[in-house]
Amino acid sequence: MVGQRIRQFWTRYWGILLLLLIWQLVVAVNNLNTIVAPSPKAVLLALINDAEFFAIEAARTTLTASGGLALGLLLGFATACLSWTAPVLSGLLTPAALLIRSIPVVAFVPIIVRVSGYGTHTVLIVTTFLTFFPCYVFALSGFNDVTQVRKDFCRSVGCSTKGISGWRFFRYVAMPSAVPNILTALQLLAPTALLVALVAEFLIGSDGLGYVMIRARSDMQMDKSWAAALLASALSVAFFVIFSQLDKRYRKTWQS
Amino acid sequence: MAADEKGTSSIVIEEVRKRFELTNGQSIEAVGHVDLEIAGGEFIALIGPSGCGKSTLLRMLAGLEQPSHGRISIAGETPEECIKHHDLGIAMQEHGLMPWLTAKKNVALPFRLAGLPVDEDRVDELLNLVGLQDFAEALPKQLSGGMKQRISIARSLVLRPRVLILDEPFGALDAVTRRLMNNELQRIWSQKPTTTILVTHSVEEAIFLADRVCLMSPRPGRLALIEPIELERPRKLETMQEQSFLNLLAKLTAALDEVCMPEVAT
Ligand SMILES: Nc1ncnc2c1ncn2[C@@H]1O[C@H](COP(=O)(O)OP(=O)(O)OP(=O)(O)O)[C@@H](O)[C@H]1O
Ligand SMILES: [Mg+2]
Repeated sequence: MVGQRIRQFWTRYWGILLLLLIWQLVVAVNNLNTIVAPSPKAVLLALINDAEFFAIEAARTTLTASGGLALGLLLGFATACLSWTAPVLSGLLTPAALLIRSIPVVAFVPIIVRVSGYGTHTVLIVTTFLTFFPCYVFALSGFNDVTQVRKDFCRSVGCSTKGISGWRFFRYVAMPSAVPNILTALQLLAPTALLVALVAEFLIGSDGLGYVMIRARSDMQMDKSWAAALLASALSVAFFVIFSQLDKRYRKTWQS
Repeated sequence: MAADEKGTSSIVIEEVRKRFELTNGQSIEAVGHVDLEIAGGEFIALIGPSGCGKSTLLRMLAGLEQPSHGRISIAGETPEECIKHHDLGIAMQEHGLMPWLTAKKNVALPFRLAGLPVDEDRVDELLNLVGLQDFAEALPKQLSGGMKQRISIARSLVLRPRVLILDEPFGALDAVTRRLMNNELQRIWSQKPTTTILVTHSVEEAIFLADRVCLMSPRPGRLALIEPIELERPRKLETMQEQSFLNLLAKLTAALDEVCMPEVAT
């Protein structure tokens, strides 16, 4: 059992180990300065020596990223609900959503900073803002994803399928119909939220892994900076895995 | 005309036509001119070539589409009013069950959508009626095609409609399951004769179930023939082998062929 697990781990993740090995080799063979590239050993040591510090910073980043994602989802969902009852709103918000989606984070951050200043709260705002629009678009298209047959059935029992008077239809049919879409949105946006949080921390933050990365670098502590980067990558993978598991678990029920 | 004591409703279809305006400015006439009176508790089967306007006629009866001309009255009311009183049940070829709800919750859904308190006893009664009480907690994807159709029919009956509208509910089933379902439907209908209009592509099914079979001509659909079926009820699956049944089958099949492809039949 355990042997099988180890073998499974090995067959799945051998690429990562190989990468670490190549990294160590390149650093050793070229005799690179730690400022150019610290060795994996040095990075690992930095992680272990400052475990508590890194754990706290990683927790901070995770919290801002997931908090921003949760807020973005909540706001996106709520706005999509409003849009569903008042299509005028969707005509207004959908193009805005597409536009904002195509603005790079780096261009976006300075604008927000002007309004709310430097610090963690701004990182949260940026993450929320950037996850809000995709969540809105996904939720709204999910609500509108009810087949004609289902709508016909609802109308045949005297239930309106539009506007405020259609709230029962919305509650019992349209909203549940959007679940697969929302799962997809979460899965796509979880790593994005983390990335956005990191970049924002990097640019304007006062703590978190993104901030550690830049701070350690300016202090010439490359091992520490790289350790933060490594941890951030691991977090991103974890985010992705968690949300794809969630997706796998619940999507099945929605397939007819 | 009010509902009679059986709690069923008669239907009057008067000079009904339907024309669809297409986006390119053209329009097509889907239903030509239909006049039909259906007695309370009667079972009508509607057959006709594909695209002749059968579904359109049913959608107008169900208040899902407005006739461009003429009127439809169900026990003296418009279909929209009828819907408001939850007097209408529909089941289609695509069952339209909600995949995230169990069989039982799907059957209970009309109560929720109509804003009525869920009558659990009624829901159980219908699950029993369609013989799926053991599958109450199953999700639709765990049910076979026939079972899903039964749930769909249970769902259409749960609010005790006076009119039942069925658009090829068994169209996607294999021949054997289909005959079984025909038998089931007859049993359900005879327990409480509800005014029923069934669209089907199977002439056999139409004869087996109906009091009258109506044949529609190609688009724009009109009623080309109305054939009363006077076979004794309850009809059994063996009835389908009897000479009187076979005669009707031959007659209606020939009539259907003739309206579909007059040049071949003549
Ligand atoms: N919403 C609509 N807009 C435009 N045309 C329509 C619409 N609904 C139906 N039609 C047209 O009306 C005609 C009749 O369609 P209908 O679905 O009633 O046929 P049908 O008799 O039910 O056919 P089938 O047996 O294949 O189900 C078709 O030509 C179809 O293209
Ligand atoms: Mg049809």
